Amino acid sequence: MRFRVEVTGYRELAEALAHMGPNAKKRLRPKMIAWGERVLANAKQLVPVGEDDPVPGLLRESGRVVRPTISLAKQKLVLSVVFGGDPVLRNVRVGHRHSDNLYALKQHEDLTLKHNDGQAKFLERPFMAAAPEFPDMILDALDEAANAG
Amino acid sequence: MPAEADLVAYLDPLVSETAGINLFEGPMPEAPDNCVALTHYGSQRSDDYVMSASLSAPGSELVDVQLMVRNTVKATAIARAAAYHALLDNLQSVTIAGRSYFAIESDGEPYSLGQDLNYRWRYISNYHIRKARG
Repeated sequence: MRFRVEVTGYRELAEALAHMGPNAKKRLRPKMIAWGERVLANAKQLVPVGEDDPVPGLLRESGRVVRPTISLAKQKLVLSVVFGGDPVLRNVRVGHRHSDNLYALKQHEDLTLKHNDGQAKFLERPFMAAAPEFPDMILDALDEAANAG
Repeated sequence: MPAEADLVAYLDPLVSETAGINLFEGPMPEAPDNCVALTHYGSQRSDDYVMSASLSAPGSELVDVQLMVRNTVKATAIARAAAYHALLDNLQSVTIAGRSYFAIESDGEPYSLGQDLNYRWRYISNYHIRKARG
C-alpha cells in the first residue's frame, strides 16, 4: 500500500533548485522526509491491529518513508509512504487463497472489515490531510537554501 | 443527502442493478452475494473559493466514495466494475437530487481485493468528488 506525492513539471521550481545547486537539495530532502515521517506517525496510529491477524502489529511496523527522489532533469520531486510489501509478505500467510499478496491492500481498502483497533484508509486519511502542507514545505526549504546561500 | 445516496439514485436507472435490491449505500451488506455498494468514506474542505468572496466559505466540498462490486464470478465482477467506472469516472457538471456535482474522478481503473471468506470476488474503485455543499 503506497501513497506518493509527486510534484512534476514545474519549470520554475526546477530552475530554482538548479540555481541553488546542491544546497537546495540538501535542504529539501530532510524536509520532505520529515513531512513523510509526520504522515507515517499519524498513519501508524490508525493501522488496524487485530487479534486475528496472522502477525499482530506487523503491518503497523512495516510502515516506512521511501527516500525522496529529487530530479532536476525530469523536474520532479517524489516522496512515498508505504505499508506492507516485502516485510509483510515474508511473514504473512493469510490462509486464504489469492490473498497473500493483498494483505496490506485489503486492510487499507476493505471498508467492510471490522477492526477493534485501527481502521481502513489508515494511510490515505493522514496523507490527504497533510498534502496541502507539501507545497509550503517546499517553499520553506527553498527560502532557507536561498538565505543560507 | 449524503453523496453515496445521491450516486445510488443517479446510477439506479443507468445500470442493471436495482437500488435497495443489489445496489446499496455502503458499507456493503453480507447478502446478496452479487451486488454493488457505494460507501462515503471521507470528506475534505474544498480549497475552491472562486465561486464566492475570498473570505466566505467555499461553494463546493470534496467527498471520497468507494464503489465495491462483489460477484461469485470473477469475470462478471470485472465487467460490472468496468461498467460503473465508465459511468462515473470523469463525470462532470451533473445535477443529482437538486445538487450540483462539478466533477467525479477516480484514482484509476477498478482493481481486485481478491476473494472474501465466502469466495466472492470483489473489485473496487475510489472516486473523488467535487460537489455543491450540503
